[in-house]
Amino acid sequence: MAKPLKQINRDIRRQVQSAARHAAAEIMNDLARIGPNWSGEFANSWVADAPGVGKGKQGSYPYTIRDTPALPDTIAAVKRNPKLSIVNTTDYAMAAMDLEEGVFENPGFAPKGEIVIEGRRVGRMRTDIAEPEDGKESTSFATAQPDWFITYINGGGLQKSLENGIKIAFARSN
Amino acid sequence: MNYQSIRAKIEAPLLTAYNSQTPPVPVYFDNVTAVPPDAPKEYVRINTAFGLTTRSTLTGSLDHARGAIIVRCFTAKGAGPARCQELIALAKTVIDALNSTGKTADSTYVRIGEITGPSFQSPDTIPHFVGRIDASWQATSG
Repeated sequence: MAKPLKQINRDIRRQVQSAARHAAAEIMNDLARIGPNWSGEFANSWVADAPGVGKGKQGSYPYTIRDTPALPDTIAAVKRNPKLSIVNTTDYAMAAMDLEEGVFENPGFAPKGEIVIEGRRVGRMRTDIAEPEDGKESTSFATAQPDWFITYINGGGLQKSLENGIKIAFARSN
Repeated sequence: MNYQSIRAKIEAPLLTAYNSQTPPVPVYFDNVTAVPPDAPKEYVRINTAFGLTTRSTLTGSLDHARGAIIVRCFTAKGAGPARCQELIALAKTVIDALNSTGKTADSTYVRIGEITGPSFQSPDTIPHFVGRIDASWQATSG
């Protein structure tokens, strides 16, 4: 028996909300994968927040849709244009994203992520690292490319993750 | 994909613009020292980053890349924001000119997206006031 129109509308709203949650999980995974990763704290501190609904649970990399808040699918809720925002809960997030200066100290153990820049620190931006002086060893290291966050947002990575999230959501519904 | 031609297309006009100032403003690009030794009173850092390089197309002859450009202008601290804004505005003018350049056959073609900023910082550790703009770019080399 065919579904009543009311039910079809509700199914569409659920699909849209599900696509948004899948896209958020994809983006959080990308940010964790390409961002700095020394102890793993930064990579495991991405949270999806839906203002008015609440935050998703504090998950860890790799993130799943369960780490994003369930969005209401009523007509009234959809009309309010619910938004999902992705935030990193560490207090040094802006410095880690190369948007502000920070204080960088070697924690004394090897990083979990790959070292992409090494040398001696010459400034307070994350990648202000120059060649070490002659005969001296590197004392500062970075585990993510310079401007990785801006490149992800502007370089097509974000758009690709959004598309992937929508594809996953609709593939699972079929 | 000719990465070098894309980089040149974006960076060369900016370099020309800053070099034509009186006196010329030093410009530093990727893979040059993070902070220049004996940092001059003012200088510019330009970072061109590559994001997605390939995109499915109907023909196999088209290369398409996307990325970000970040321009940071360093000017004397404590002298107000005017000079920094002048240097940032110069970058914006160059980007506008690049966007109005027509497409020619067999050449790299670049379009730069929305510009974010400028944002300004006055770090404690360096004698400079720093202004930054960033933007997305898309390039095709056919």
